[in-house]
Amino acid sequence: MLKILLKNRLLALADQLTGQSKGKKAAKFGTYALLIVLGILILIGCCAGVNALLGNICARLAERGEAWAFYAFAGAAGFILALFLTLFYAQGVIFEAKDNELLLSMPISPSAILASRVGSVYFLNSLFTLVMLCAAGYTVSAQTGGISALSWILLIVCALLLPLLSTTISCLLAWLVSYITRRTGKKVLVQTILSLIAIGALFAVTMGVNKGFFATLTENAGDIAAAFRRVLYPLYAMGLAIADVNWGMLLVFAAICIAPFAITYFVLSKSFIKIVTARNAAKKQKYEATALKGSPVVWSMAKKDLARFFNSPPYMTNAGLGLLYSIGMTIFAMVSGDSIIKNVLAKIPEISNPGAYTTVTAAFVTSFFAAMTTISGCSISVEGKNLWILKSMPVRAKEVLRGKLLSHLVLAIPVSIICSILYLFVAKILTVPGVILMFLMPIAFNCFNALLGLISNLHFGKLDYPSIAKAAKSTSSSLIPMLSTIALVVGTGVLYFMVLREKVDVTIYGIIITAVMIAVDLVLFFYLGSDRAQKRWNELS
Amino acid sequence: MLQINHYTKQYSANGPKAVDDLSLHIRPGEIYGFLGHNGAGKTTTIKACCGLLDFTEGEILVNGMSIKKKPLECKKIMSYIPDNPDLYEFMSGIRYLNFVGDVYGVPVDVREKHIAEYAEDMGITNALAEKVASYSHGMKQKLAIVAALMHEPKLLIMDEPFVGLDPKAAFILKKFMRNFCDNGGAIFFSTHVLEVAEKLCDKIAIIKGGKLLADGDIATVRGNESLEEVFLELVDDIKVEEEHA
Repeated sequence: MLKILLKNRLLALADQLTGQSKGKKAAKFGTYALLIVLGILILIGCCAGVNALLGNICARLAERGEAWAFYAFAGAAGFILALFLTLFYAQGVIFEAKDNELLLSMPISPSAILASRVGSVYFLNSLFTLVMLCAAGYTVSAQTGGISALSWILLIVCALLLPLLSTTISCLLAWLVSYITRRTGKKVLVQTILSLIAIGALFAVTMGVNKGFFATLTENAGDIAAAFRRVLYPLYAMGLAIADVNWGMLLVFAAICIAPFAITYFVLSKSFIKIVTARNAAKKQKYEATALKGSPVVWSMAKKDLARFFNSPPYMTNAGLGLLYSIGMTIFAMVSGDSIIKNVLAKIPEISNPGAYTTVTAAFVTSFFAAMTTISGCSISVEGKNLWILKSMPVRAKEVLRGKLLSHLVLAIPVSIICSILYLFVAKILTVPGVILMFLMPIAFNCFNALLGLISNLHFGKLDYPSIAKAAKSTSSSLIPMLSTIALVVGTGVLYFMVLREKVDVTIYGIIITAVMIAVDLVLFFYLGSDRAQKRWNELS
Repeated sequence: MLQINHYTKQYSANGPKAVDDLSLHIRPGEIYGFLGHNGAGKTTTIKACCGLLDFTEGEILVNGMSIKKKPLECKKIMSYIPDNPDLYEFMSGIRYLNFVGDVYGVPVDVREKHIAEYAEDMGITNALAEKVASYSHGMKQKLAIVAALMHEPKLLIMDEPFVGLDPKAAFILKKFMRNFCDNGGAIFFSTHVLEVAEKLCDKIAIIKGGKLLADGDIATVRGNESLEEVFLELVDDIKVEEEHA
């Protein structure tokens, strides 16, 4: 029974990764094969990347006889990555799976159900760990002239043991999130806060990992090794087991990984029924009639779409990340002053009017961030099984589509204006054309991004996603506006510097680009009200 | 009120006909039951009547207007309640009703009055502040019914409306359906519950494999037999007496 459950879970996971839920067996097999090839390519890329970036540290550690610290470092990276990326998956698949009650009603033991679910979490964790440890093995091998076959075998064994530890912590954190959610009844709030913390942490790590970071690591390789030995003993044991083929350390490491996993699994399996069938402890709100407010149809549609956005953490974090990113990057620009733009411009020779260049560059940078917001790009896909409501109502496609457009712009334009105001102060933009450009250009690009996203989703969007979360994460029509907006912003900038710099004044060029974008926006906006858009809307089912 | 003339639906060009040359006429004041097994073509017909599904041949008129040519005008005077109402789970019940009121252009005072009346009848008033996600299937069904009645439609099209309703709500819905038609409205609904159809409907149509087997006044269709016996004979070729024997 466990085998069947585990197989189903892993197939569901594969379908989730490929975005494929139905189709012929042969086509599915092809997609799975492609997934495996992609996995191998990622593994090769990671091996080459780690060797190129961290080869120096590895060589220095190996010289000192502390190659184990490199394995420990890779293990830590794999552990953190796996933990971040599987926490919400673990919560969904273990504690909030819709088929929990159905399976519990069948003659299947709770421990088998739990094992299949924990098994899929472990599988994901082991993929991340395996990639990181293999990359470390390759790097050590490349820097030291090769490692023994036994070392490779122990590396694989450790790559199977370490995920037990990250799976244990994933399961415990997932249980904690479920518990808090049930007690408070604030599922959206809890998930949003945790998502933002996770994204913020990954963002901070990404921003922190620069050239200087690796140089510091190389200089302090010895201290890092000592720190691992003192504070992260399991990783120290793992590193020694692999590097020195130390069987004793392997046993210690295995005990450290297996014992907490076994205890956690035992406790969870004993309380599995109680946990998954527990009811929400939050108090029910009793309705008290108050005066209702009517709204025009388009605004009512937009309010409905905004309610959907703000009630779905995955929708918010996937489609609305650009809003946070814009503000974050603008604040970053404020902190670092206008030095970044000035430094970039200083590298370009023959700039006659640096002030004007700063203005137009700042406008382009703010426009660039518009591309990251993809709310409209999946706004039709997220209707999914609710589409019948709109289709059975006496509304035109243009009213529905304009509502969706409005829900995107009502969030994106205020953020764009805030960023523009901040940039005005950062870049000390004082001219009237500069100020107009600084506001109009990002708004024009935001409108373009929203309109193109909506039209892409209307024509290429899928509607058979099982949930809002899956639609927000998977829809490929979000990529079209994102890539198009990036290409336009970067392309027009490059075109100016490569071809038009000598011929057209930079401010005039900025104004021309803004005017062209406004014209394109108008064309796209009128398309939403066209018979063709209505026909396409009618075809959706 | 609802006229279906030679309606034919094929999902693919070379595929079988899901519904074949169906003609029905539902007049004001009539409760019209639509009976058939699963997959007989009931939902396909109902969705076409509501403008949710395009069709291959034929014509569907709502109050004399073609659903193909004037879909908005048709939708303004009718309401559709699906068998499995997937409502906006991220909205509270009251917010959903207010949204429906906005789209149908129901004046605020009228919608407040209707919400108070119908939600009370359906027993969901206290739950209106809760998110639809927390509703049971029956409560979602009740909310869909309240939403459908908000704009005082002339035609109600319902797909299995009694599924998931508790006895009190089912009783109230039946009473409402009768009052609605007595006041000039028309109802076209599908059901598997033959007892409900027998007691509630003025007319029925029985469909099998997309083809109409029988239609007309309930008394004419069933003759001297019970509706269950007629249905089984027509749809399954089963003689009830033989079965008993």
